Amino acid sequence: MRQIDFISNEHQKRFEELIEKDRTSIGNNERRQLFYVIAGCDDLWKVKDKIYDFTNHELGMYDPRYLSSSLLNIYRRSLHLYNFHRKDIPTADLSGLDREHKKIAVNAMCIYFGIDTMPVSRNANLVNEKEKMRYEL
Amino acid sequence: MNYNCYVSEDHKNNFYELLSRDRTEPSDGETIQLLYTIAGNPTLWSHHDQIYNCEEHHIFRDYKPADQYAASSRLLKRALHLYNSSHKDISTYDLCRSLDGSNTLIVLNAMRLYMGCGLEDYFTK
Repeated sequence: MRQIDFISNEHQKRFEELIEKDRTSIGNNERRQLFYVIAGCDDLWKVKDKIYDFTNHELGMYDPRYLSSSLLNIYRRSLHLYNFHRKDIPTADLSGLDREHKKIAVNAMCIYFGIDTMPVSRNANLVNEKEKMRYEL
Repeated sequence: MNYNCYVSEDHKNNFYELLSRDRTEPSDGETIQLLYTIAGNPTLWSHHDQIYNCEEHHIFRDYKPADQYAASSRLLKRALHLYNSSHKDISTYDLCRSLDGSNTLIVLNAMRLYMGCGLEDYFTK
């Protein structure tokens, strides 16, 4: 059983919406971690349709230059995990993230590896019921 | 699928031994993740006294792994970067390709420790 830890119920709802919209397969960990990051960061969520083209199921033409430095770092790491031809950032650059974004960065890596994420927030809804039903787990 | 904090009982014991010798501060995520990584990989553990000096609290700059492409060397490269960012990082793709389950777990947990996520899960004593 897969468990994904979210930073809030809103984060979980948004993630499920993106998975549903794209009809992402459960084995596509590269894309799932990208959606997890977009869903968890408000400034990325606002431009989700520019970041990702849901019609053609590919990255869009989003220009991230107006993101804050810390958000730009988490976004670039996520793009690298989505497609390794995208240059990675030095991992130490993620140390400037706030607590919630640090959790998102770590959990995105866990999703990328297909490993269950450990509950980092005891109050979060830990089991993604909708996703379990979708994949008949 | 269960999520484990350690890849083995040896990993946990080695980690606690290094922490005890180093007297690492709980807030020192940079050192904690380095010791965690060294303790978990058998190759790194066999060279731990050549990689990090617990008594004087510093790394040995002249340690060179025999095979720089081995999983142990890639793990160490990431851990040294997180310990001190003047050490060049390895891309996540290069780090993670062909890693076995144990080394993958070490990479993820080292990052959690560095970021200070769920620290209490690793310390039961």
